[in-house]
Amino acid sequence: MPSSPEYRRNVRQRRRVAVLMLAVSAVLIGLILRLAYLQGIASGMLTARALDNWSKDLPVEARRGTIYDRNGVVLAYSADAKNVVAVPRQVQNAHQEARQLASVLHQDVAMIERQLKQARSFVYVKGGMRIPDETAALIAQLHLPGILLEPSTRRIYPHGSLAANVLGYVLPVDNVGASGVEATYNPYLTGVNGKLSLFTDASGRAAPSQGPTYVAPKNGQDIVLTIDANIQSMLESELDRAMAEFDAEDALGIVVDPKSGQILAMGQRPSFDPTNPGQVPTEVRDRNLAIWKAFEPGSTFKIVTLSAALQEQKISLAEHFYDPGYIKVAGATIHDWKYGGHGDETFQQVVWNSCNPGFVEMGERLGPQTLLSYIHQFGFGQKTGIDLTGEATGILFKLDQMGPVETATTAFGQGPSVTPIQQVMALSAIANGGKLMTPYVGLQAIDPQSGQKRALHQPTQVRQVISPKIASEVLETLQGVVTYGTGRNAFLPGYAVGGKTGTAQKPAPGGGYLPGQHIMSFISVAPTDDPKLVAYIAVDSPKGPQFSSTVTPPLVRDLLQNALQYLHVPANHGSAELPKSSAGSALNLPQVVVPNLVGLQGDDATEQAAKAHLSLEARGNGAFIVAQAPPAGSLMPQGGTIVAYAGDVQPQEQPQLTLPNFSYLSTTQAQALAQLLGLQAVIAGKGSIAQQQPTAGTPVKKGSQVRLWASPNSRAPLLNPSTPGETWNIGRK
Amino acid sequence: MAREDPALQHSRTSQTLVPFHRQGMPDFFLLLPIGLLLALGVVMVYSATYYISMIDYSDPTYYLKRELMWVVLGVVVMLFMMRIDYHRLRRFANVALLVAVALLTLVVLPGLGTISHGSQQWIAIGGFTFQPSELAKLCMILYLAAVLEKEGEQLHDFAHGFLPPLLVVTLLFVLIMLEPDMGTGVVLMATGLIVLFAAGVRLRHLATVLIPVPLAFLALAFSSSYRKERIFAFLNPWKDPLGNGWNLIQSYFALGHGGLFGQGLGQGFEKFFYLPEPQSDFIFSVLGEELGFVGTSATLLLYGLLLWRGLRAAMLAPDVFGSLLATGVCAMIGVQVIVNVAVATGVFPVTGITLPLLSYGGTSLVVILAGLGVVLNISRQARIYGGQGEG
Repeated sequence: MPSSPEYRRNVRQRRRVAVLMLAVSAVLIGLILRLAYLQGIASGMLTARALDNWSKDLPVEARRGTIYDRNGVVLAYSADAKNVVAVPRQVQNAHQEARQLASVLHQDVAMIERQLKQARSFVYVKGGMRIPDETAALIAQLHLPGILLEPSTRRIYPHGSLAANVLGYVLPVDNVGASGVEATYNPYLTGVNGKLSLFTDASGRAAPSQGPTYVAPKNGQDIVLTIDANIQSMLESELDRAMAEFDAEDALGIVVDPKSGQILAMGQRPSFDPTNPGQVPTEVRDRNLAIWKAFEPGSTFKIVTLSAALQEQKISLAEHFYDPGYIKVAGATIHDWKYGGHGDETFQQVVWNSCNPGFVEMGERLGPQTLLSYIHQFGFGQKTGIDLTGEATGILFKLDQMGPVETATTAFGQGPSVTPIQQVMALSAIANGGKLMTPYVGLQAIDPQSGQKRALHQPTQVRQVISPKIASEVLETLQGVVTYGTGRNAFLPGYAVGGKTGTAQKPAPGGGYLPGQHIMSFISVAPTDDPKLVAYIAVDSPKGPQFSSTVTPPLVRDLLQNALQYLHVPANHGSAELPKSSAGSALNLPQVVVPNLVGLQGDDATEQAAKAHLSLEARGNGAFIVAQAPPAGSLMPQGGTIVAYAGDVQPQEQPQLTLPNFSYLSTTQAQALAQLLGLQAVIAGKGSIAQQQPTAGTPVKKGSQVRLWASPNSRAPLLNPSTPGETWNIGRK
Repeated sequence: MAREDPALQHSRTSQTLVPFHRQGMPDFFLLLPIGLLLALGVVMVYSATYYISMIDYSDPTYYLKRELMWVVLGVVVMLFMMRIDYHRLRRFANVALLVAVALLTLVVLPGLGTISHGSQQWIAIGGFTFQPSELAKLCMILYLAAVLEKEGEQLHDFAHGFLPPLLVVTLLFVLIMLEPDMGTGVVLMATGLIVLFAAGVRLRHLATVLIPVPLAFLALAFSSSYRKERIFAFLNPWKDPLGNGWNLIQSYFALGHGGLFGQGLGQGFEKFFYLPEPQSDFIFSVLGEELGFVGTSATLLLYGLLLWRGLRAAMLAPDVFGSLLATGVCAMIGVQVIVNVAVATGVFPVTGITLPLLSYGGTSLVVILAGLGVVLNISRQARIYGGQGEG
């Protein structure tokens, strides 16, 4: 029976069903393992991708950090603004809406209409990026269907063009620094953007179970610069004066603390307002002339030759030299700038007189190799490494190009091409006991959350170029240039000022030099016994017959006078009286407070000055005083001269100014702003400003009080039509 | 009614045997997973559809109401089939095959079938649609069980035993592929081959089919690059995330988002129009997102229990007909579960296969429950052995 076909079939059938059972079990276990992988190991990765798939992210821009000067004055900050965003699908009448938008944004109607008809989920309306809140309010009032206002920020430079080429500017599209400090410190300033994730079903409807998630942006760090806004302002008013008086092509200047290499001021004309960078050609906003413009330095370069000759003991200052008015080098005749020459003189007098044959002699004694080596050691022919964009290297002769003629001309500053910052750092090295420093503008970074400060730079020594003893000899000689020589127009009562004039010829495009075109410069150091400042101003192509001794030294003198007083450097250097000068020593004279003359008419101004026992030297043409140096409130010796500039327009900020909107500024920023405007701020609370009294736009007198309330959570409302906005101008010009 | 089984006569001498002609209690451990999976199905269908129902029909319970109706209908059919002696079905075997062929022919005729998703699978009767291919699977199982039992030792003859039933299966397969409905076609073919295997056909005969058919299938797949990309998108869905890869990627997202313990019932996200057919073809992914790995593995274990008890009923069936019927129904359910889950987990090309008992109602649910009713009836007639091992 067990072997019957029926039985065998039955057994085989059951065995096969058992095989099926095993197969099913095996496959199910396999699937469970696969699920364990997908829901266990791969779960995190898949969930991350899924969340990304289900949501649409709207970036929330981090607020860019504030840029302060060394004393906490706000130079650049990001105010609340709006982006105009169109959702073409929701736009009802593209032509009508485009017309209205175009009129508010000053754009082409057809262009905006095309944007409103684009087949995209949303589009940024042209000209609608980062518009001020008051402009946005105008758009909001139109109630245009499909037009949204996205919160954003706008870079504002409260002092207009002050230090513009140092600060640089920000590209409005992506909020990235394009030049200057904004570019070099962009990684610090930018912060980390946050995002708003909106969850939707696959058709784009808001998902029922998952609300939007918000990742807060991490605001950028604040940057403190070595720049001093006051000294910067003093420098720029001298540059303005240079442009106005000499109708120059451009003018530039640098003030540096020689001991640390910190840049205190750096400016140029023409300049621009970084708040609206689009209004000037790129070369104006992208070129920082003080570090970019390489040119033949002229006589200022003689400082290098002198230092090298003294260090190498090729000359002594007391050694005599005879200048017949020319010198022959390898068959070529090089003339002195003074017809007939300076005759017999010491090498010290060679420097005072800026005598070319004397320097040719020094160059010959040094030889091309040694001279070139010192030029290199002083930092020429290489970038200084300043933390700004667009620094040039300059061009020097190579050693094998240095024949006798090249050596001779190089010795008095013709031939090599150098940048202003290289010259300033070279003189700073001499003012710093022979130690060449790296210049810098970035002082500190401040974390916006913790308020923690971190140094961006320490004073950095590049190398010891000359010995301290030789350095002080050079300084003393340079002081003589100002006291007895070509720099006499820079003489400053009470201060020991050293300096050197320079006149550089401008190379013509086809070779040779442009006739009558010169870059006049003056480089100076003060006080020479304990140098606090090295200042440099260069004026390109002043019109009319000009001498290096008359164009730039007075500018530098006034700049130094203001800056040294401002820095409380005592004016106690009595021994350096200018011979034959009618101006008495400022020593022992009582100090008086400089009155405010701005806004007054000429006669009233003279009267005010006289009352304060000061004299007035008015420049410019016009009925009203628009600016003055030193500024009102500073101290100066009795009997001194106030230099005032007259213009036709009565400055509006005197005696009244329009109160700016303090909203969303930090308390520090608000305090700085108030101080800058000469207002007295009373701040209650912590965080950023939420309310102010009187309201923005109210005309107030200088020195009046503004009450501010701060709250930790003050943020911009989406739109507040009653807010007149953050644009304000403190009216420096 | 049933013929005497010699094996039974043999065992009767040494073991206690419940008389097979008397129907006992149905297998509780078969009923249990059926009930649990049906209940889970109702919950999951509601969870998967309340949102799309609201959007598409302004009624969150649109699918739920219909699901409940289908479940009631299916359970009634199941209980009915459970009560009638399965041997009575044998006489309908040939009729069933004819009906299946007729309906499958009708549905592909222009004008009669309802076209949806680019294929003609449904016949509309009144307000309801009926899917002949689902019924065809059951008809085929019945036909095969009856024919293969009758063949006896002739089964080992390739031309006269093996080939005729295979040709029947192939005919049905071809008709279904004409709709086209590749998923159901594959399930039907696999079920048919499993029944042949269980009936005891020679393995080398089976091999003559098992080797060339997949090769032919591959050749077909590679014949057009469009089809090739569609079929093999599951190997790397990220290559075409918005096209051929979309379905699988969304299923991955659902399963991954579910993690070990799930987001909780009703808390899934993929059903918001991301997963296609969240109530039927991809209900396992919805379940995976809301109940996690714990839920998916427990569900697979329930299917394992169901299949084990179903195949056990096949082993204990009083005769070859019952054994093959139960094996066929289990094969149909097992293949669908495996293919559906394999699709959702990316180990099989994306095909539209419902998940038995869990997916939203329709002909499929009623057919599955009808089949399970038959298996339950077979379990009521199981031979019970008291002693050591089977006969």
